[in-house]
Amino acid sequence: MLNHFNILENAITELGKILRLNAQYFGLSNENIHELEPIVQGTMQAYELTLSQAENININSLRKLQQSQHLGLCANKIFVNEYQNFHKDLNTEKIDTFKKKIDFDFSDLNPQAIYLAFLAQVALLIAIENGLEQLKDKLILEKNKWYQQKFLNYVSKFINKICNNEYKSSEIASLINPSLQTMMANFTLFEINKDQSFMSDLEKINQGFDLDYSLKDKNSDSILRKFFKI
Amino acid sequence: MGWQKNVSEGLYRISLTLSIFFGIITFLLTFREGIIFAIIASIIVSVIIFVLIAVLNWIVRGFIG
Repeated sequence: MLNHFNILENAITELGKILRLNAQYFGLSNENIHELEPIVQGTMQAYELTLSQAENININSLRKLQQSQHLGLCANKIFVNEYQNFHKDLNTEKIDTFKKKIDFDFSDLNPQAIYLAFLAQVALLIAIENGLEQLKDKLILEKNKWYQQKFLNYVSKFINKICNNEYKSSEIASLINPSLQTMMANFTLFEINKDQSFMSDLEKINQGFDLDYSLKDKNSDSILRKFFKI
Repeated sequence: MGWQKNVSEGLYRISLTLSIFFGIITFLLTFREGIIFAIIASIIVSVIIFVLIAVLNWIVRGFIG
């Protein structure tokens, strides 16, 4: 029987594995590993808080958690390595312009802390997806890829709109948050909320239904569109 | 979608509409010469119109990025 504790335990184990793989980046060794303890404690509390959103652990509640984790990861992915091309409509210049136009002090951010928070979120997502596997949910990997592609589109849309001054500053002000992760998730959600059809797809998934998660370009005219750089 | 892509999307739609429209007109005008000839002529006209607007889009995108 799967419960909150199993997921939490699994997430911490996964975090341990991920940190071991990234020990060199974080400068971790046997001598200074104890310095991680407060971070692990804080991460555990964050995990507990996230998992407490689910009253019971079942397929539907884990699907909701999987969805919100993917949203959070996509929203923050661009800050993990800004020089990687995560999306065709995003590049370093755009991310720099976006940073200048948002009322948030990006210069204070520590790249190691951002990466650690990102990895902690990945560890929880792995634990949630393992839980879904144990509960025999279907198409977990397909959903994983689908979420990553879909959510990143909304992150890109938001950043592009900010760069093109398509938002009023009053619209954005309420979404700013001292935590980068929360702020970016707010931005992405703000954009998603405008798309009623996508919102209803997300709701259907959370109710246990499955969609067509294939990522093929469904436009029959996609070849013609290429002539127009669309 | 950036506004540059909106311009391309608009031109793409114009090109589809015009090439289909002139393709049909060509087909009707050349139908008396035989159906095969009419089909080939309408395809050629459609492709020419599509390519012309695609070239226009290529030039415009050179200015707007």
